[in-house]
Amino acid sequence: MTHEEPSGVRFSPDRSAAIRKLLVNVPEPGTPENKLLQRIQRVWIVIPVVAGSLLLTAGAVVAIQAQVTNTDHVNCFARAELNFWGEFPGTRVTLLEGTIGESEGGAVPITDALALCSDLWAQHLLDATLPSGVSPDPVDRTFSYPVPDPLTVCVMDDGMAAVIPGGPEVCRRLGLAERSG
Amino acid sequence: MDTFDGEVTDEDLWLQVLAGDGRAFGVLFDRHRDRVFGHGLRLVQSRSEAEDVTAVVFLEAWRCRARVRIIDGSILGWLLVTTGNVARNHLRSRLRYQRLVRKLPPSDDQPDHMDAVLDAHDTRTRQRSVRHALAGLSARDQQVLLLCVVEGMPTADVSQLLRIPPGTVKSRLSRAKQHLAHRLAAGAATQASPAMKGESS
Repeated sequence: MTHEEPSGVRFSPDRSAAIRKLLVNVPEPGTPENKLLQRIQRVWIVIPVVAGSLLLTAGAVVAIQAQVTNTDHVNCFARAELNFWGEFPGTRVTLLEGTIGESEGGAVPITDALALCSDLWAQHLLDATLPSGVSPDPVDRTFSYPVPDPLTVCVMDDGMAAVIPGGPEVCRRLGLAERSG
Repeated sequence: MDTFDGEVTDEDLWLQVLAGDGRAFGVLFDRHRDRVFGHGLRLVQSRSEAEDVTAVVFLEAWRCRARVRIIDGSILGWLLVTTGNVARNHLRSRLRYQRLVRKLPPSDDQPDHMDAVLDAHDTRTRQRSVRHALAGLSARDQQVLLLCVVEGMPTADVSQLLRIPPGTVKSRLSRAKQHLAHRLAAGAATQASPAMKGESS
């Protein structure tokens, strides 16, 4: 059998110990790890393509700030374009949990919209050169595709975060609020 | 220290895990960590990613505990199949367990010492070629090739794990080898593949 680790690479002792400690707590009733995993049955990402034919909105003239109030979804823009109907090139991401027993499931709050959309760029799910902004190819699990720099988090009318290529001015240009705080 | 006898089977340990014994889960991790890590390392790009994959595979074992398959008393096959799935769905898996994985210490990936780099250069060049060729195969071909050839699992075990007839395993393996050989030949690096040397029947 040939099951040597490639290049003799070894598991980091510190991480191994930490993972082991985590796992030992998982089956033990009452531990935080056990409670968390009892709730998780299924999580997946929903990625509908929401872009239609695009008409760039006229930029709003007043800069406003708002907080993200809807963390169930994140809109990842492939380009800084938004039409009258709220469509854009890119994708909306939702994270869902199922239920086990009597625990409640539902959407998992997405607390780091920027990191989530950056991951989609790195996996080539987002492609600014395509009309839809979403690559039809399988994702690149090497996370090697470039992430636009900068990306800015704006807030849409419905309180969802929108992560858009461009600097802070991009929110105002698309008529969106800048994220406050 | 955990006091499980070294001859306790995975199946016995798993029953203990299902009964809520965390120490048994720790022993299973000790027993199979390196195989899962090594398998993951062939499918992702860095040590830290392979470590994350390893953690997620064991968390998946708990989450999917009702569906875990023990073959001949061993959980290893199920873990390896799951490793392939987790590596392919790395983002999704990471998001699922982000609240747990974030608590782990950061990876201490360090550049290799120069001597080690020089020693390992040829090997790594070959491995990169194989990894690149592997990545071009379909998920099903990758799975069978890695399980049968690299991990050396018997056809019958792979058949049970994947729930496909042994004949299908063999034909899929044959096709995967042909595709891999073709891709290696077509690639810039045409050195012999370590993965092609380790087959067991």
